[in-house]
Amino acid sequence: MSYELTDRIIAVVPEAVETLFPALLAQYGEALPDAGRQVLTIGGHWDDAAKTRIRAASLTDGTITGQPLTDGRVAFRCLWQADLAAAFDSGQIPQAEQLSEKELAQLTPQPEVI
Amino acid sequence: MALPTLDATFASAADLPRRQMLAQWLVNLQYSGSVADYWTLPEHYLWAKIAVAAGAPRSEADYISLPKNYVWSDLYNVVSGSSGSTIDRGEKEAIGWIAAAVRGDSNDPAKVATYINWPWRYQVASIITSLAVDADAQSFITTSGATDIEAIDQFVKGVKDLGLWDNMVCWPLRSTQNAGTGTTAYSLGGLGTFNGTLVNGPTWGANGLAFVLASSQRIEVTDTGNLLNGAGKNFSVGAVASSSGGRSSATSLLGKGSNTTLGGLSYALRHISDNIGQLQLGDGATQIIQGTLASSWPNDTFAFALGRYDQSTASIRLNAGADQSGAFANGVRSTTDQFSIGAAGTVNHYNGTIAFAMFADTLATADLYTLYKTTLGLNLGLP
Repeated sequence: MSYELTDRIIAVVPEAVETLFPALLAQYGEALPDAGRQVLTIGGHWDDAAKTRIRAASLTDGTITGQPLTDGRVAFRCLWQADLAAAFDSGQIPQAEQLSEKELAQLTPQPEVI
Repeated sequence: MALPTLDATFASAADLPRRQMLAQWLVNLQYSGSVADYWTLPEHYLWAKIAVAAGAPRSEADYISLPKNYVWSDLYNVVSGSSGSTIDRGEKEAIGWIAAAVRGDSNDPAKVATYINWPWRYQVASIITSLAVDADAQSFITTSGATDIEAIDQFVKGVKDLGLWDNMVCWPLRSTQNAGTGTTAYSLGGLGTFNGTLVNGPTWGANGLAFVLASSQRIEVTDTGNLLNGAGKNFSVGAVASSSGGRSSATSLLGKGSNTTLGGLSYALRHISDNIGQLQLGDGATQIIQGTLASSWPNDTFAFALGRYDQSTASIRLNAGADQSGAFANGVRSTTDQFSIGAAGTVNHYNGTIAFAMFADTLATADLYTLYKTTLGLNLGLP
């Protein structure tokens, strides 16, 4: 299993969920377990507090959803498939931008207080 | 408790050979092992193990060396909460009294007489069936893969004794009390099946699911039947949680509705500072946010927050504390919008660990806190 062991935040335009992610899934997809089955995905989450297990994060299953940003993009935070993460780092996927925690905080809408 | 129904379940217990019946009694008490592990032991060894498993005060070796009357006397005391000696009782009388105590019928002379008059097989079968894992608890255990069988069984039996079962659904979230892995949080309760999906990776742990605010982590529960909105009825929402900090003025433990605008809100249960937990209710146009806690709820401390609404008064209490109440006669918005744990809708996320969440379409009482604390909530440090 080749997934990064620390999560990173990737911001994309909302359309990328339909146009970019399927292509990335086809190229980099790798199965991760969830509830006794294998899910083809490009991202995962730690499943236990001791960080001994990774489980699938799936757009299809709704187990990962984008976090809306004030600039109109959406951010996804997870453990990314390692080859895909390398592609992010080398700039091969210009539609995706990695954000720091500080940048995410600055782009996060304030919680609704009603 | 009603006298046991002499049905197939009862008959299958009563049809076992004597030592197998004692072994089944022991297995049910321990929530572990199998009849095959024990039934070949001499009978007085089995009685000794039953006494120790039930919490009787002497050691297994002591009971092995004593006449069985001492086992029966101590067993009766530990089950009934009595003290004193009843070693003068013969086996038929002693086991009849123990059966009555196990089934909570010690104060009903007619039922006690029935238990005493029954054949030994019926007496012990009534104990075995009473101690067997509740069928609904077993169903949840089988479906979810939960391993804390004793706590779940005791909780389900207690909820039924409180008369809440058919009105309540809950999500035990400690790893041994649910799936403990993967992205499904299974629901428990007679109101219906409302399994949730873990979104954005909350992490399973021994004390509950850990939610990270910065990752927008939550559990989403689909409400296809308008069952979780409380519209037109009394209802209660509750959560047992420990904050890791990062609270804001709207941090929510759970909530129903979109909650991005007042028009989308049904309700939310909030923990926003050490002294402020809130039950937020909305009817689609106006809202109430109630109230200030009677006791402090600091970070890294588990507490049971219970919000209740009876169509006229909204209240919130912490643990066994007093209700903080305010008037709100508007009712709440009816909606099939998702129910979320660790957020209200898709906003106002929580940062910390949630061990338990619940919804009931009736008013839960302080008994629920006590039941949770002594079953599912053991070792969470609840006061």
